[in-house]
Amino acid sequence: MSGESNNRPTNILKALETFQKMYNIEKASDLTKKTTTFYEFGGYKQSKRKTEFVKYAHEIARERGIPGYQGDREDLGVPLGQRYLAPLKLVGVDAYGEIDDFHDINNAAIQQAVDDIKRTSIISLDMAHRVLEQRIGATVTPETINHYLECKGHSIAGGALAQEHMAEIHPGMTKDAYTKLIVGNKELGDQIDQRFLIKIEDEFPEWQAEKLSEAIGDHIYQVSRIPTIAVRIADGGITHRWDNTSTSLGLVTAYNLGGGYSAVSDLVLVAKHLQTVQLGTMTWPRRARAPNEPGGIPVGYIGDICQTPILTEEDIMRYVGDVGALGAMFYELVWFGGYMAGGIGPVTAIANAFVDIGGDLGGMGSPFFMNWLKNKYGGLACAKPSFDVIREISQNISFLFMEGIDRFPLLLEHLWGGAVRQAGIAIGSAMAVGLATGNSLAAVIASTYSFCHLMKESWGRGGFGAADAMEYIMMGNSASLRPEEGNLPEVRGVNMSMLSLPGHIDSSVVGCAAAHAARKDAWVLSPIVKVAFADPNLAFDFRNIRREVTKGVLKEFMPEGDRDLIKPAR
Amino acid sequence: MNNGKKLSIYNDRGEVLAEDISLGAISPYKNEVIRNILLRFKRIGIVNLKKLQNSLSTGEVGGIIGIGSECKVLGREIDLPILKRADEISKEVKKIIEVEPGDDTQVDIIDDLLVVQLPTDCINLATDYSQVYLITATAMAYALTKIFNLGLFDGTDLIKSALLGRYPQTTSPTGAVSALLSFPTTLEGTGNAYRSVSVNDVVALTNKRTFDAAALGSVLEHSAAFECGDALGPYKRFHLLGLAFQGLNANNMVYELIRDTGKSGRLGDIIDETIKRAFDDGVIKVKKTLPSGFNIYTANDVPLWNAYASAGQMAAAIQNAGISRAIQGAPSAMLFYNDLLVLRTGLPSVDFGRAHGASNNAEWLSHSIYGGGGPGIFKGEYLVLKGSKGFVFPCLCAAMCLDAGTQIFSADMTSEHMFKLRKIMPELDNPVEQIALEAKKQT
Repeated sequence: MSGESNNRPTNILKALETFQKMYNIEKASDLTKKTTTFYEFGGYKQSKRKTEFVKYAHEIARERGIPGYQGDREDLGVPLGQRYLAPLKLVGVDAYGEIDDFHDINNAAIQQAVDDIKRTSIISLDMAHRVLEQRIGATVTPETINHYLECKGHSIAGGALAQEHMAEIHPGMTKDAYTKLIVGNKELGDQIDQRFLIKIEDEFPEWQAEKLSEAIGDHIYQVSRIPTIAVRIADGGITHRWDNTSTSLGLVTAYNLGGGYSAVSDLVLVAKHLQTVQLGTMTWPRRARAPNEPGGIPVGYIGDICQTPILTEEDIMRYVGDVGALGAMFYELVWFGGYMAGGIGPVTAIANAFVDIGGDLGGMGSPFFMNWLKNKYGGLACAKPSFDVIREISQNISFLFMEGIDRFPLLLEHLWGGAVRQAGIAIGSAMAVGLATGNSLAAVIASTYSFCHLMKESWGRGGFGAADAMEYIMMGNSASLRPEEGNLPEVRGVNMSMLSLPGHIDSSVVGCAAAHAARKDAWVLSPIVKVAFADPNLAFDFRNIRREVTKGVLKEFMPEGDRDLIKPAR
Repeated sequence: MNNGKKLSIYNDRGEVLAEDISLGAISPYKNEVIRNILLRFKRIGIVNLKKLQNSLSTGEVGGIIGIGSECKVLGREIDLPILKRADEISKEVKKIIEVEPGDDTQVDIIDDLLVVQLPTDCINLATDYSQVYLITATAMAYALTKIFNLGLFDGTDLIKSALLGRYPQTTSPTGAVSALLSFPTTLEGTGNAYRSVSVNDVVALTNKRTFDAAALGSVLEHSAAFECGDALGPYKRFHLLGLAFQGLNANNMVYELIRDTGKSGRLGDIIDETIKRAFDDGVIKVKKTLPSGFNIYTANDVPLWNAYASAGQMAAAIQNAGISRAIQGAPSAMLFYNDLLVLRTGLPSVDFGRAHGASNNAEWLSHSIYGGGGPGIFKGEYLVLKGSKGFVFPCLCAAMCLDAGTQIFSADMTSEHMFKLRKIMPELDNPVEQIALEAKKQT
């Protein structure tokens, strides 16, 4: 791309138009100016949302007699009059949202996305069927499997099986709980009750469905969603236990087994423990969380959970962007912002994913960028990974991005004082190198290279908090063979101590997804997880991640886990 | 009266191996054979070369599922003839691990396993034993990159994943590297590592010899009691006596109880014989005779009574499993042995009720939808058996040796590699005899 700067592929005009809308240019300043007139925005009153907060908080204070939120007090919190509260432009839709609407507590869609991941349990039934046949002498057929699925569906929703007079759960409280099967063998799939099947051929493009079916083969997996309210009362750790107990009870009932003899315990062991796929594993004691909580989920699974369809090569960018959005809200917002920081503050960190500064300013989403990669290296995933390739691509991406940002000095106000601009560069470099090489390791090395060296050449120290600390550490760590370092990027995650602070992780998420998408791989880390989330019954639609979050912003998303049935009406 | 100060150890044929040894001579701190067994457990790291080679060639790395793999990373697969070049690899691994050339680092190829024994310097310096996983894996990774001349983008990160799985994203390794002791972070409580060996592993390491399994299980359990601070003060003698009588067939008590009651096959007979022996030896005495003629006993020596009772419990487990040639009833046999022993004597049962509770757990969780698996997969540090330190696990190890293959999770199925390790663990060849002879030397 060097030498082509006069024909920069960035969508500058489009970006400018977006920023003019975001900054309400008539009232604010021209973004190209070097000076501006701050302190004229009206403080919290410029925001409909914050105005609503103030009004609501007054009522709460009156009702309970204890003051809480007081956004109208000038002596509390941030002196809001100093800055313009820019709305965020939502990617892929013609809509804007206030930054408060992206806080997970204010956004039902983000909550549901996280809940849907936390409440998912996957179990292979292979060994259970083997124990049933070899140890117990039962015969497993499609008919018995269908019968089991009915039993299982009753149990996972809170119905009693194999036990008398047990307390049961109102089905309205668990209406989002169910179990489906994944099979790779179409002949078997045709004999399974279609209500209980995730049909691979219906949910994926043909090229992808074939690869997924082949990978799953003759194995049978069940995917269960325990009720949202269960993970809200407990945590992700309850998921496999809830699912496993209903699995055991379902098998005992479907195959007419007694509840307490030795063969059942063997069956239970294989069904409950030995072949259970937990999406997330527990985290280290200082950040201790149960399995299936965000901190324990490897980055490769984010690319698998994202279901944005890839029908043509152009769709790859949309898919990778959606993966980045999911990774940002899952790790940066919910994990770092919520679990680690206590829930207050870092919503801005997800701005990159939704505002698409990469696409607008770096031109990374433009056909030019894709064409450049293909022309330069002969196609996606055609460049042999090397430091030369990493350097060349990262330099071009970084400089392009930096030039774009530098054209609009006031944009830094929007990018949290500029703090998140570096993340855009790091993510962009990881994505570009991942696409060019099809190699996730090269992608994450590109992220650290651009963040630590290229960006710093011009901008000096960057990043919010200690984000650049992560990147410098990863310079030495990324390809290390030492036990606590390195590893395949796909299996890394925020439970690794050096990745347990904000920054870097989205580069890994995006880099892995880009590398495998470029290779036309049907999944990133697990074919089973990929299929498990291709489920139209899920409350959150992982095929349209950013649209769903937008619905959350606009208060149009309907989550699960309500308590309406067990409480008086307000 | 038997005061437990001098003991004789007998083998599984009822023949005396060492007479009049002192109790202290079987302490893990004194008995060189026990020390060597324990050190061996801390030193050994295992690389499953076949699994490693397969996962590298398929890209199936990083999964956490117990059987099979849910993860498969495409595009990074590498075919390395690891099994073919195992000898060369083992030499390189040894060279990397050695603190000084020629030290006691040992690397063996046993079938498709590469077995590392860390040098004494590493053991002495370390604060825990996680190094058997970490040093083994790292040395292996460096050896492979050198021997196969691998560059940064030639799959070195895949090798790391194949060896250690997702670690440290997961809190314990899940790859081709394993060890005799479970990874420290997986344990329930501290100081319990010697209790992290499964019943089936003990059965396999002792080649299914009942008394050897009892001995090894007992050594591991009581040594853990010392490590975690349990076997101190009044409990020191308590644990050593338990090790002697239940684990090492002290005074031939376990053997004779089985021999003398085997024909009837009744738990009650074992209980009666245990009480009679304790009474005759002056370990217990009648405290009160009820109007019905029923005797309530009291102990002259509580730890010794516990040791006698624990020998009876071992006999009960062996008798039950031996008669049926099945492990499944052993937990129940121990449960009811303890229950009836209390009712019969008014004395505390084994481990002051703890063994009763742990047996109850073992019975319930090997038969219900809430637990799972047979006794073969149980470990001492897991909640099933954790309640009794030293007195239930050895009985299950012994009883499991007598199972004729009724279990899905048999030692042959779960612990195939442990049988192979016997080749490099000479202490486990007639361990009772070796411990006894060493104790004689110490006395």
